[in-house]
Amino acid sequence: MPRLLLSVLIAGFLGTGLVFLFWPFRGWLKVDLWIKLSLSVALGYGISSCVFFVWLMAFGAPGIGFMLTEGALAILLVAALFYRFRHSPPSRSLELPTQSQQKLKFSRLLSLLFYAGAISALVTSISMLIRSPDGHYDAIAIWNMRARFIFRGGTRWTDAFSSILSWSHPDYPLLLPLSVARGWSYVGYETLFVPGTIAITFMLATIIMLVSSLSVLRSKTQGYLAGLVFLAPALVIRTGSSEYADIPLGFFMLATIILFYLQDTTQEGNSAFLILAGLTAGFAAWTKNEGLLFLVSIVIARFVIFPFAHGLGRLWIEQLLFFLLGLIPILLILVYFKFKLAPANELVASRDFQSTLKQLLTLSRYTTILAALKKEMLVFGGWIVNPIYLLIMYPICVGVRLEVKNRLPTATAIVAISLVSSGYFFVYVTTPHDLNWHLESSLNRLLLQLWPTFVFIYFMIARTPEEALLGSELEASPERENPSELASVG
Amino acid sequence: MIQEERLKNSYFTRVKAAVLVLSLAAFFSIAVNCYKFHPFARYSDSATTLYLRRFEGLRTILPQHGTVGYISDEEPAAEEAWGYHQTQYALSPVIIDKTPDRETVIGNFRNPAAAQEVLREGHLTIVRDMGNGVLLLRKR
Repeated sequence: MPRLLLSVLIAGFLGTGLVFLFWPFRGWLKVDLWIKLSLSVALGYGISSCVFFVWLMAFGAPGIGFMLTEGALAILLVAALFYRFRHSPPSRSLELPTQSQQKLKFSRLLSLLFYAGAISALVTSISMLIRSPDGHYDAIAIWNMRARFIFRGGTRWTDAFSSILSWSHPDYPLLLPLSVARGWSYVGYETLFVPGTIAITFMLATIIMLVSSLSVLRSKTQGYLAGLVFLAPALVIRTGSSEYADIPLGFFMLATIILFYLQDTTQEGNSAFLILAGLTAGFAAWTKNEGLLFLVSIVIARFVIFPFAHGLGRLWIEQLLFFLLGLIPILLILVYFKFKLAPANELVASRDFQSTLKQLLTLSRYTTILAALKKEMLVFGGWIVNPIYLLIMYPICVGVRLEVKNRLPTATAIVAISLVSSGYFFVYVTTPHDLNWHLESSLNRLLLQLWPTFVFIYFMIARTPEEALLGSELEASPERENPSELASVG
Repeated sequence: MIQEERLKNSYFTRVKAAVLVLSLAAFFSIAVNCYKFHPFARYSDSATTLYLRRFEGLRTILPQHGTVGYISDEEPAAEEAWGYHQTQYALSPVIIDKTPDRETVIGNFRNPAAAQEVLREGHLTIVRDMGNGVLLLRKR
C-alpha cells in the first residue's frame, strides 16, 4: 500500500507542478484551488503515463530506475515551481464574480442537495466497483487487458497489438492502460485497487472541475445546479464505476473548454492557460480515438473563430504557439504510438471508396441514426423525468445571458462540440459494422463523453439564479441594455 | 405600477419554480439511480469474478508468451464472444486465437459432459482438466 500511495503522490506532484507552474495566478488558497487540484490529478495521470511509455520504449520493463527517474522529475518540477514563486512578481488573484457572493434563500438547499447527491453517487460507484473490481465490458476487453499485457508481458508487452487481437481495438491510445500498469509496477503486483482508484478519481475530478469552474465563472448556485444535472443520468454512475475511458475523455474535453474560458475571461496579455489547454486536448487524444477528433475540432473551432473576434494578428500567433507548446509533446508520443505500434483503425482500414460512398448515399442510414439519437436523448442515461423538456424549459423560465467576454469561448465550445458530434454521426453512417449493433453498443457512451462539456456550456449561457432574482432590476434598466456594458457585470 | 409589480412577482415565482424543479428532478434521479444500483447490498463475487477465477490454475502452467487456440461450447455468438474476451483477459499476455487450429488449445466449456464430442470433431486431446469446464488441450 505505501508503494501505491507513492505512485499516486508522484503522479500528483507531476500534475500539480505543471498546473501551478503555468497557472497565471499565484497563490495556494484562492477560489481557483479546486480547479487547479482536479486538473493536477488528471494531468498527473496523463504525464506519468507518457513518462511510463517513453521508459518502456527506451529501456523496456520498468524497475527501481523508473521510479527514481519519475521521482526526480517530480522534484525538479516542484523546485521550478518554488523558483517561480520566489522570483516572479506577485500577480492578481482570480476573483469570484460579484453576483455570486450575494446569497439566495435557497442557495443552502441547493448546496445540500448537491453534496447529498454527489456523496450518494460516489458511494454507489465505489460499491459497484467493489462488486465488479475487474470493471465491465470495455475494461476487460480493452483497457485492463492491455494493462495486463504491459505489466505481465516484460519485453514482449507489444504483443498487445497483435493482429489476432484486432477485436480489442489495439489502435486505441494508452493513457488508461499505461496508468494502470504503472500503478502495478510501483506496487509490484496486480491489484484491482489501481484501475478502481483511477476510475473514481476521474469521476470525482470531473464533478469538482465542473462545479468549481462554474462557481468561479458564474456563481456557486449555478455550479451546484450543474453538478446535480451532471450526476442525474444513471449512466454517469454506472460508467464511472465501469473503468471505461469515457469519463476520463469527458474530463479532458471539459478541462480544455474551461481553460479557454479562463483564458478569455480573466487574461490579458498572458496566454499561459493555453499551454494547459494544449496539454488537456493532447491527453484527450491520448485517452481514446474520439479524443483525436476532439483535438482536431477544438483547433479548428478556436483558431478559425478567433480572428473574427481579435483579428489575425500577433495575438492569434501567440495563442496558437502557447497551445502548441502544451500539445506537441503529447502529440509526438501519440504519433509515435500510432505509427510504430498501433495497427490501422478497423473503421478505416476495412473501407474502400465505393462502399463508403454507397453508405453515404443511403438515406435509411441517416434516419436510423437520427431515430436512435432521438430515442437515446429522450431517456438519456435514465432520469426520473424527461431531461429534454426540463433542459429546454429551464432557460425559458430563468432566461439566458451571454456576456461579451464569454462570447468567444462559448462560440469555440459550441463549434468544437458540433464538429465532434458531426464526426460521430458520420462514423456511424460509414461504419463497417452492423449499424444497429454499433449504435446500441456505443451511442449512449459517445453522448456521455460530451455530457460534462454540454452541462458546462449550458450553465454558462443560462442566467444564474442570482442574476434572475437579485440582478433583474439592474439589467432591466436601459443603460444595461448595451451588450458592452453587460461585460462588466459579474 | 401594480401591473409591473405583478409581472415581477410572477417572474420571480417562475424562476424559483424552475430552479427548484430542475434541482429536485436531478436530485431524485440521482437518489433513484443509486437505490437501483443497491449500494449497500451484501458483497458477493460478481459473475465475471467467478468466471475469471476458473482460469487461475491454467495461467500458472501456460508458457509466459506465445499464441494458443480456443474452443468453446458457449452459445449464442454474443455470449461466446464475451466468454472468449474474458478468457483472453484472464490469460494475458498469452495471445488466444479464437480458432482450435493451434498446437495448444484452451477449452472453455459450460457443459463439460458435452465437451467430448466437440473435442473429437476438433481432433483434440485433453492434456489437463483444470475443473469447472476449463481444459488444456493438444492437437492430435
